[in-house]
Amino acid sequence: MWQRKKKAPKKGFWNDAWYRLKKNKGAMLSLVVLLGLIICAIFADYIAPYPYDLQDYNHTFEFPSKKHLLGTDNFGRDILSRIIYGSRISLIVGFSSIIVAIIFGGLLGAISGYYGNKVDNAIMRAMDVLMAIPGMLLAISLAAALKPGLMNLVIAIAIADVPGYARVVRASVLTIKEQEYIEAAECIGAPDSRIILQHIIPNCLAPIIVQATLGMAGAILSASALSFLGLGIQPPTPEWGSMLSSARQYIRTYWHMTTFPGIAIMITIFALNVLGDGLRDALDPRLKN
Amino acid sequence: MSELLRVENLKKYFKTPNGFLHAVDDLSFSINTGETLGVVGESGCGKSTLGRCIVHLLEPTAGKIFFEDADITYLSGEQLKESRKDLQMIFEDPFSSLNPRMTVKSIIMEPMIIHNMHGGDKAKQEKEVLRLMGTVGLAERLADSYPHELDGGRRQRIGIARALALEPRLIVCDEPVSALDVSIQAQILNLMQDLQEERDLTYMFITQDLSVVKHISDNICVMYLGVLVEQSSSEKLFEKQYHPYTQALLSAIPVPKLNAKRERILLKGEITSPINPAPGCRFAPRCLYAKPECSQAQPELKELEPGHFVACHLY
Amino acid sequence: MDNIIEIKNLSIQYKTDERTVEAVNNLNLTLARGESLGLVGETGAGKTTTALGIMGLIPDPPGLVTAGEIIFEGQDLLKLSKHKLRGIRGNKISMIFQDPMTSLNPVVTVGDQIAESIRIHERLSRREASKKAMDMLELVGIPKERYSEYPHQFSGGMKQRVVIAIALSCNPELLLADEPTTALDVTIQAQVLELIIKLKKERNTSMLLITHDLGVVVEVCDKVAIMYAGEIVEYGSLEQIYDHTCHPYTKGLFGSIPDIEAAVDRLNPIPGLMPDPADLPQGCSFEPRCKLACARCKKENPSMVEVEAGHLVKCFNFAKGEERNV
Repeated sequence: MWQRKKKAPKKGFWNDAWYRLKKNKGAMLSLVVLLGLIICAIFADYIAPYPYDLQDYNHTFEFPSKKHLLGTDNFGRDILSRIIYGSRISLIVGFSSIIVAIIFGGLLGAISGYYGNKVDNAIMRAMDVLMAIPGMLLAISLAAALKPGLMNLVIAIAIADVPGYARVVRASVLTIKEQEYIEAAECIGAPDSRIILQHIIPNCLAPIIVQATLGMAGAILSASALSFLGLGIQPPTPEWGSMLSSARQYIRTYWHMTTFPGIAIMITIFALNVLGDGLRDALDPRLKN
Repeated sequence: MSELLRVENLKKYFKTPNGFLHAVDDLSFSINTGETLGVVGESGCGKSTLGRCIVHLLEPTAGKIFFEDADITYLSGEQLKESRKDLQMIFEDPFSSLNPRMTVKSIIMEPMIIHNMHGGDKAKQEKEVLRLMGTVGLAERLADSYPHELDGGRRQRIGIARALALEPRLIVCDEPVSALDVSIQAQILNLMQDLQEERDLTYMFITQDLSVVKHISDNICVMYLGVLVEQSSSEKLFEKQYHPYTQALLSAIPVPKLNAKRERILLKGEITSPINPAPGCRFAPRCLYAKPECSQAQPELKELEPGHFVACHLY
Repeated sequence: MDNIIEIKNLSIQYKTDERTVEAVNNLNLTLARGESLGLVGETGAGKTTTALGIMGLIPDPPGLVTAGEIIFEGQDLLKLSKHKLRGIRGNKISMIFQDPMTSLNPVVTVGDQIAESIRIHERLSRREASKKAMDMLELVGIPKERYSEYPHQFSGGMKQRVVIAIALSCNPELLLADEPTTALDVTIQAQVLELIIKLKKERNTSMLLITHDLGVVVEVCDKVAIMYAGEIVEYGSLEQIYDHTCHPYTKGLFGSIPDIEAAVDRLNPIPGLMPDPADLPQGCSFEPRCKLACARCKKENPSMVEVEAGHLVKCFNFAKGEERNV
């Protein structure tokens, strides 16, 4: 005889996606790591054992000990505290450059995909020009031209990322535009702005989210690299890249100075990439059975 | 009976790399208020393009469309928006014609919001949505569900409710039941007939299913490669077909009855390309009765019996 | 009569974490050699799953054959090794899929695709195989000059002919055709059906035709099985099903089809929807939509009753040897 089966969980696109994401252990672990990082960044003042700029010349180049868990640097500053404070810069740069890039790239991509023809051609060729310049090189030249600083770091990274988002959004707009519900919206007299905002954008959010998560890893990496080159955040503000940069001359003698900021970067990037992959699996409707 | 829609010499060509695709070529017909015009033809015959021209989704290349004797061929801005209230469309695919991120309620309410109906009063609009859902046979509890949680038949009911929200006079139905299973198809057809009677709606019913079109239409147009080949009242057309294409089309329908084996006319070959069509009758290459003159001049529509028009050189 | 295939108590489920879809439930079906059986049902009735089950092509996971046997030429296909099954598949049983657009490889010429499928099952040289492939093309009404054209140069009807040529290239004893004409226009459908009828007669192939179109069944088949929610609800000869319809679902199906020869004001559809295959009712699966449902239908799932020789109905309203008029 038939038995009544348990009802499926509450549906809806985002609920569905969350349900699938929850089953992905790696992605969930990454999410926990990233949440921890965000908490570190917000509550750095309470978590960090020492202020990030407290110099203690009696204890320079100390190896990890109970007092300084990750050791101290050439000015006797606590490396753990500097890494914790450094997460602020990394996250701010990561988030804000991605948001700027999504807004500009997304809008350009949506317009380009929706109107097609000449508009599309003009926008996409401009994007091609941007893409032809290696991203790092572009960021370096922009950062050099704009004077080092947080704001300009964000702008430099964002501009290099815009074409990527424009492409992703344009591609999904092109598929969504062919759907009958766009015709249906036109048929009931919806203006273009409404069609784009109400019908097209919500349906291409999924690929944007995936791209953003993966892109954030790249942005954090670029920020570190620029700082490493001296074009990003200026000392004494702690930033993982600039910590690496200033530690590189001691790499043979004091391994801890380079290793821990490096591990911090690695864990963050790794977590973001795993989460990005997990989100792609969770959000991609083609994998839906 | 008053005439609601009149189409005169409508043409729609698409530019392709190989030349012009004649999707709709010189079509004229009219529909009376409260009646259903069936447009039949196989895929690629231009029937959907015709429907989309009428509801302003595509701009015709030439010709005129009149709605209650007013020329609505080229409209823009406010006039277009007003005209959309009278002309609505029901789409073929109940899966792609609804935005997957919107709830049933917001889909049906959207046209009311755009046209600021019921004085823009949200509570009134919401009440109207629930009333419409009742009309098309959707339970109120479904108002907050998403389209993908529902089956094809219910989705198509949402599409119908959305079209009805603006209280249109004419609805272009583009294969509204061909994606549905027979038992659901019958439910939807009955619903559409009920709505037509209640609201004095006029339908232009596009389909490739002849048995459905016979059931629902008062008049029928048969299209082949963008051209109107035969036009008549539904009864007359099924009694006597003049055009060889209509004859073949009718004989090809599988009838679910024993001992219904009819003489079947098998056509040669397949539909030819509508890009830069050769002069003469478009059906000539597949026609069993083709004569030399068929490939020279395109036949004109002739009235063979009162109200029965055929475009063929045989008559 | 000698049966080419016997399906006994076949049950197939699709299991995901959230739900178990009971796609085929306790299905019994036999097909005699040289006969054609039409398997009719709506979307989600389990028709395609049944055919994939016979072919051993159920995707696992999530699909799983939970019970039953499929006896083909004296051996149970479900117990065969993958290797042996591959020898039967395509050689003795072949399948035509619904969508001719996706079942052909777009970068291989149609002739080579036919030749390749011949060479997989027969020891032939390349030249012999391509000669045979040309014969096959001619057989399905495509001039052999088109041997070296690619699928995109063919129209839908032509592609379906190629698919049929591939399916028939190894002289299968049993042909499973899954909605072979659904994607085609009516006039093309008529051509393809005519071809299938002709080939079947010439080669005496047995066929299981899966379709939702009762009109197609009349033209091609000898026997009909009506499927609903993973079960056969009525089985019989054409005459028994079309002229002495018993099961309320079958009656509902006929009532839903607009009649081209008679004018009716309104159609007579079946109310409601097919039950969710992951949440089937306890009793008869058609009970929620049935006009004749009684208290017993809610609790028990009826079994097949033979109302007359060879005419089986799964409904409590019919008793053995009795065709009650309801």
